[in-house]
Amino acid sequence: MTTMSTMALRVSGVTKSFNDSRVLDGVDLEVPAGMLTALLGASGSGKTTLLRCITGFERIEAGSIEIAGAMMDDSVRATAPEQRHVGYVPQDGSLFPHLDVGRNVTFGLPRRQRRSAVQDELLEQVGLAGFARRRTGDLSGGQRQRVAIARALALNPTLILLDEPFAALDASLRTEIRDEVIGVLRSLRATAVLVTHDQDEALSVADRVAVLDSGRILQEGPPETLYERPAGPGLARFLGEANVVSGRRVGGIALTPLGEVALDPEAPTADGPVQVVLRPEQLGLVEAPLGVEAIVRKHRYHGHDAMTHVEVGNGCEVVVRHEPTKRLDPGDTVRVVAIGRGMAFVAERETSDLTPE
Amino acid sequence: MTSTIDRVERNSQKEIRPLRRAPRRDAWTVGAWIVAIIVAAPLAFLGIEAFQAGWASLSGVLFRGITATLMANTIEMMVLVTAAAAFLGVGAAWILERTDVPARRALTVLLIVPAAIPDFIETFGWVNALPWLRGLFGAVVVLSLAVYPFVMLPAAAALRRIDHRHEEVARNLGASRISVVFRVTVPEIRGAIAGGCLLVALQLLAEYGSFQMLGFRTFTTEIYSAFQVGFDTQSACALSIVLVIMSALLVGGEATVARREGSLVTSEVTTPARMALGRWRWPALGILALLVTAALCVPVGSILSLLIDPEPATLPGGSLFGAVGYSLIYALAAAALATAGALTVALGSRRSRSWLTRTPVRVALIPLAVPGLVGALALSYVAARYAGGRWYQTSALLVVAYAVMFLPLALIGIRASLVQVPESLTEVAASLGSSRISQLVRVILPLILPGLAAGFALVFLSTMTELAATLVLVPTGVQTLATQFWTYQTNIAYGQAAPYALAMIVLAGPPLLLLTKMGESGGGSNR
Repeated sequence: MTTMSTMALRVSGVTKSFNDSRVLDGVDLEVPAGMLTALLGASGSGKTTLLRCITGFERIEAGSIEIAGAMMDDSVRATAPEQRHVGYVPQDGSLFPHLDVGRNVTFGLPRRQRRSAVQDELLEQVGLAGFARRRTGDLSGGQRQRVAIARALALNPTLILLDEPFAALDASLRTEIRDEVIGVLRSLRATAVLVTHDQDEALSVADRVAVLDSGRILQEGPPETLYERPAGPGLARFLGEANVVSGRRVGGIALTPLGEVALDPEAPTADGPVQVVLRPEQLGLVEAPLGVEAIVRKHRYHGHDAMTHVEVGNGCEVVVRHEPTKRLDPGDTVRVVAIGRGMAFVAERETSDLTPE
Repeated sequence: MTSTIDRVERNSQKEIRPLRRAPRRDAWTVGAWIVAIIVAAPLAFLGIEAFQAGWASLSGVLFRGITATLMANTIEMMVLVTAAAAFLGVGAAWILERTDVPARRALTVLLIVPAAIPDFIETFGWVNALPWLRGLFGAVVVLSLAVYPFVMLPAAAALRRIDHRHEEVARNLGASRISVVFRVTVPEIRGAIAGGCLLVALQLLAEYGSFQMLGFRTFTTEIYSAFQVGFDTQSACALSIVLVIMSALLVGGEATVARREGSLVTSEVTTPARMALGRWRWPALGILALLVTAALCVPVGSILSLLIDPEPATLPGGSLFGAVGYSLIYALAAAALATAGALTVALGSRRSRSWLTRTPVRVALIPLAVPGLVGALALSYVAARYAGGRWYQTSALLVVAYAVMFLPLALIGIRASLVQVPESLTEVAASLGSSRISQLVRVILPLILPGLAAGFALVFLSTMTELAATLVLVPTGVQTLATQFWTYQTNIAYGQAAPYALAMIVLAGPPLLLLTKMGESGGGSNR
């Protein structure tokens, strides 16, 4: 409970349904002050709904939402959206088309503070000094996002929520604009929640990542933890390419078609049948007598590296990431070895969803 | 990582920042329902009256020989005029939008103008010029020329909007120019054509003045004389119900055509190439010039000639100035009231999409299918029956009647412009601390101003030129332009009627100008 003051947002057991279909099913989430948290989920996972519950556009059915220690919605009573002081940046920025850039950023301020000096100051924060008299239609995608952020930050909110701010942008501009926007948020030490469906985006920009699926938070933590120690095989696949091979755990290792694989000490299983998750970069191509024999099925060349799908005995196919120098064709014979520590999970039927159990 | 907060702590939080029970129901939705009830009430009462009269007495009216004649007359006239208007409207739109006919801009404006002139004024001009023009033939000629702009406008807009590449593909597949027009272009804009034809047909069902002047008997002329001359409420009521049912069938039929329509709007609008007419340029110009002459020059010229060469006055002169004043005041008040009501309904349906928010919109659109005469009769009936006659023939009731009748016109425009204000904009405003009222004033209203202005202008125009409802509901002793004109016209004092006719045409100018401006800036939609 000593963490109360440092939590900018605390969501507890939040449930929300639309027309009898449950979109949020007991969501628990804590966002520490000063950090950027990515809320990662596929479309339909409920991430936008969660965001709208936090802003107050939707009422929750059960659970509670607190912002900076103050109760916002306890599922019976709620604070109106305009009284929550939560910054909100919708997908397209949603700049007011009838106002110029300067009037957009001071929209939320009291009338006497909507001066051009204030406008300039706010725009300077996001690197858009001198843009106050521009029309919103003349801005580029990244500029629009930055104006939207300046507008939200003008009120000094406890928390700023960004709803897929980069989803609508061209792939070529995306990284650049993302760095621009994230740079601004970091320089202002803002507490932010970034909603995204892009795992690469979540892992690369956020301090913490929360994965939402079917209305539940599956795992929450620093990006490295989520990638290296996912809570389940499905989750592992969702956060990047992953090989899942069946094996048998004996102490600190697992016996698999790939041979003996060292297991992560945190792997939550007892001895017996397990499923081992190995990232493509945790496998390598080696020369005899190391590794096990495998037949190349597919080879993809990416320039900076190459991905090769190989089959290791009785139909077990895995992907290996390796140096791009090796040119391989389907049918070639290679040798594969596990070079990292794998995560092991209780053996189960192959499921495509992310549920860890 | 799950944090459970105990009860005590939660309660202490409540004290720090008291929560309030946020309204689950939008205040605008409540307003929308109130407006919808006001709109629907008179018709509901009309239905109740008919029901109370009983089937026996109703069928007595409905199965008289005259009813069958009226039905035949009305349908025959409606089909002929709508077909002629569709031919003229689509043809003119195609020439204007897809060929290099000279003087396109001027022709476009001149061809739209008849839309703003009341049909009964145009009929007046024609009857004055050619007194032998009567009956079905007269009705078809005069009204086709009066209503074709209502097909031309949506057809032209659709022609500008459709994806031109479809036509190019058809040409590439071996279709000739002419065959492309009939196999690709016209089918692609059939939704717009159907919408225009619906407007025309509804207008024809509701028209009273023109048919009265042309001596052509339809439901409206019969209802009016049953009510005003024979004081036969029961007949008027029974015939009104038939008329409303016919209108409702039309609206339903159009909805099914429109629903089957494919996607008209494309993301990439290509500039359609205009067909080079070559030596047909001047004949094409001639055709359009002939249409302008017949639809505009003949009726307006005929009225002007009455002014230049006045006959001796046979009736005591009314005050033109007073009539203009009353017409303006009524039209402005009705436009303000209808716009406010339509705005409430539109805002009420903006957020969630449940039956609770949709119903008021549907109800508020009903008057589109209710002829003005019937609406006025229903209101006067309600006033006489339930308000002890206190409100009957008062200015307040007249303005409410206008506002209810023309509310759909404002609603359509406002809803179209409200689409351009995504919910995310008002949500952002809320997240920035704006209250509901402040969101309306600072975000919504500035953005939908063009739609509001168009709606206001359209209601103003319609009110100014409404005849039948005004005749029923106008307060005793008050003369508007339409009623004073009608008084003179009925008594064949054409010379004295002419200034009032001209005043109506002139006053229609400013709102028409505003509407065409809105149309050009692409703000309004035709439906």
